[in-house]
Amino acid sequence: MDRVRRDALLVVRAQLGDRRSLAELVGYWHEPVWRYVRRMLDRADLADDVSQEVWAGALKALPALKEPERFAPWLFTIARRSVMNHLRDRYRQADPLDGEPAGDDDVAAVLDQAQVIESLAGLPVCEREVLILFYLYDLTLEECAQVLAIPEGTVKSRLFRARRMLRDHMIEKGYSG
Amino acid sequence: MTEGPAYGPDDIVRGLSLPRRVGLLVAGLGGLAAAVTIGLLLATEPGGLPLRTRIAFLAMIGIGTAWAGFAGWALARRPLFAVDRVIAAWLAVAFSALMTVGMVTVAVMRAGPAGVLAVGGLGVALTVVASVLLARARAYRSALLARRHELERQHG
Repeated sequence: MDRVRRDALLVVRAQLGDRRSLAELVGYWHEPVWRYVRRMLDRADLADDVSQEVWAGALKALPALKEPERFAPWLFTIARRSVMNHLRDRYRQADPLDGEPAGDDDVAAVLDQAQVIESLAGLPVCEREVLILFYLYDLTLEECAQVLAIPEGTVKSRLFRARRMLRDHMIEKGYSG
Repeated sequence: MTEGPAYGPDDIVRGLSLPRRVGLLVAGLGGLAAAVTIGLLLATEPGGLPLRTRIAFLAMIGIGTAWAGFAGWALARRPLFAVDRVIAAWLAVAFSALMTVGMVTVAVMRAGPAGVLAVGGLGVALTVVASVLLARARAYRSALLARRHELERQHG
């Protein structure tokens, strides 16, 4: 059973009131949510506070979730909202390069998880979060677009730009393309 | 990055247990029913009550209202799942019916036909509202059960 189907079934069981399914669902997503928040905020104690806030909001809204298949993007949307509340001052909504065509480049070849994780901290928030969602949590482009509340085309262009920035960052640190 | 969260999934799910919710509901609805019934008793008392009795009644009304407020606040902060909604609606129906009987009994003893009609009408209205909530909660649960069966059938 893939992630989407597993989540959908657990969500519906939890909505019915099955605490074990709810615990299982939380168990699957507890660490990913924390890691997402942690990488976006770069402070472990703050990540604890914010991720607890994320779960409080998610559990309260869970009975009203109409499309259980969309649990992951829905959860990360809540997480993102909480993170952005903490980053509001630094976060720039403007995305002047949106629309830049996405394309395959040689960066993908060197994007393994360890390198991405190591280099993420050096990227701006916009680029960091799209890489986290797409590469670390394997969300689809459509799911990333839902979480980030932007069109799929913008996700592609942001990913394109993020990978270039990551490549530059990694080359600076001595990785080869 | 080898660090991890300082709390576990159990900490997140803790506090959502069914007995705790039912306890809150019983306390809240019980407090509300007591406050309304005592309030009615106080309001329909034909003669002047001694000061101590009035203070005692007001204190009991205050306690009942406080329990109802606390239960409402606590439940509003937690998710209400389908089975919780059904239980809550059943409790609301039971307490509304009980409160109606109590109010009508008081009115029959202490008020005229108009009073009986007024409190009877109020009680029936509350019971009808609770019954509608029960019907909706059961329909919601049935829809979710159907969805769960469908998902289980699809995924083996």
